[in-house]
Amino acid sequence: MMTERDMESRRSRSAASSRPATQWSYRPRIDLYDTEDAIIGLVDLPGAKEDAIDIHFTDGVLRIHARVETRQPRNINYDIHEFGVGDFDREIDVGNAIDPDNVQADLKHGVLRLHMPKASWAKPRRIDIQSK
Amino acid sequence: MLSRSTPARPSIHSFRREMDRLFNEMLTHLHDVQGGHFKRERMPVNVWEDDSAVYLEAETPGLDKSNLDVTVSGHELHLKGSPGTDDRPEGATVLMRERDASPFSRVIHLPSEIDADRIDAALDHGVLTITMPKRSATQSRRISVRSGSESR
Repeated sequence: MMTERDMESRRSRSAASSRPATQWSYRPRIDLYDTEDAIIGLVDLPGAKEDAIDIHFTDGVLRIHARVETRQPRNINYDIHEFGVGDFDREIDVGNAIDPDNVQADLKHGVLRLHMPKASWAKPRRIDIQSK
Repeated sequence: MLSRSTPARPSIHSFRREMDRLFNEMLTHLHDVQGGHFKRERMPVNVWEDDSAVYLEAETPGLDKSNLDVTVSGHELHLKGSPGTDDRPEGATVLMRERDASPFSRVIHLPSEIDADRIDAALDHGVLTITMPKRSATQSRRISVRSGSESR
């Protein structure tokens, strides 16, 4: 997966060649889980390819942008039209307790799985009690 | 839910997204209390056709072909899915849960007669695409008209 730096340069490139401001974007659905070692995020990004997903983490906020290419011919008359296709965009506050350098991401069946390890200071620690 | 992209104005952008989120939650809530018609289909589909085939596309994130079932009977296409639960980390505390996890089933009425033997269904990056060639019998055919004076 991409490093933080790669993501940043991709992001600025895509901003420079951005689509018209009328382009719709969609808010993907997210599940977030808290485990002892990490925060785990599952993000529905159907239609997005691995190299079209930008993940950005700043000040405790995770930003996900996924470019989705148009798959259908333009100007078709739908018999049933229940969803639109466009980019996914979402910001989510996961807090500062994670280690941004070691975030791992993989994509499977249109679901992005983010493994965000907790910073060592944020992990639960057992404190031994000294008896006298 | 939709939000209009305004990259040059991040503060307005995030404000709009937040408004969308609230609006979305309100609609969901309305549905919950009224059982109304705001409900988004459990598995939204797009269906269109051209001269040769009927096409269906659905977003099915998280499903692989082992938990998707597609059957066709006459003018109806049946779609069933049961998302697995193996992507949920065990023993974890849920902070947020928005993704659909319940099984679903839908019946789609097809606009044309199709050739069930030649249906092609493909799953790619969480998008299901089904191509259903039309039956040649329904394609236009020229019918010659006999005139009364012609002998049989």
